[in-house]
Amino acid sequence: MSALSGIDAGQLLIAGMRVASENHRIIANNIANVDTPNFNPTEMDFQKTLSKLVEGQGRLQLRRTRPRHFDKLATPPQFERLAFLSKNDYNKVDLDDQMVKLSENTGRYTTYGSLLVKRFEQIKSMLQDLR
Amino acid sequence: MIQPVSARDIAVSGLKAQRTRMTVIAQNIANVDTVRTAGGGPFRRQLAVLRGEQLKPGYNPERLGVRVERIELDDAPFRTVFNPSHPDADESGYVQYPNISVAVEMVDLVSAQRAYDANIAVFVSGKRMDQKALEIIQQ
Repeated sequence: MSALSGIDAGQLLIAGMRVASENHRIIANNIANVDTPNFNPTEMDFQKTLSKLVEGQGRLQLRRTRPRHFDKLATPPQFERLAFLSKNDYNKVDLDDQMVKLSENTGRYTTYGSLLVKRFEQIKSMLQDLR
Repeated sequence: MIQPVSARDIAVSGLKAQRTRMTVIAQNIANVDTVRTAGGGPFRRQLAVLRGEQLKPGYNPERLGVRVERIELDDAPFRTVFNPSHPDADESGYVQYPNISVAVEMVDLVSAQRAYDANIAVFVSGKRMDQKALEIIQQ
């Protein structure tokens, strides 16, 4: 937990939702390209990306003014090298694998969303007690 | 964070590409016995070639998703059927039929349909995520 000390739970949940939303985009791209010849699927390491995003909190951050500027989230996607070839068009996307990842990621995002709602409820009840 | 192409756009590009693929397959099946075309000769099998953007360092985020790059003609040889009474038969009595196999087209059709469903699933889960995000401000 030492790495997480000093980080607000709300901030962490928001970061988690951002990473999950970026991961959703990556999975969407893999699924859209399920029949594209020579396509390799991309995988994102959720934990690594999240810690990369969180450790920068509170420090001076660079502003992105162009879509092609590097973003903390834009760098980590890695190639999935373990995938094996099962189609004769050199496409390595395993549709079932991607569907599992998709539902896993959606579950993650909605869980963080629910926790964030709870977090705001806590703040709200705290404020009500003050009255 | 600026996202030039959202997950929803990517799913929609997949839906469009798979639908085009299905249209091409439908055209092939409909013309399985077409021996005469405007360009002369029997109908040639068509294939939709898809192209996508690989997510590797230096990729162009504006080009995520998939699109139909071109429709290519299958240069496999035509089927020949012996039928001397056919008006398109050559001097030895053979008629050239399209290089289309209905079985192959059906397999492609199922594959396109499965990919279409997968893109729908991406769209639906994206919708669920958006609804969850909206819940945060709903209370």
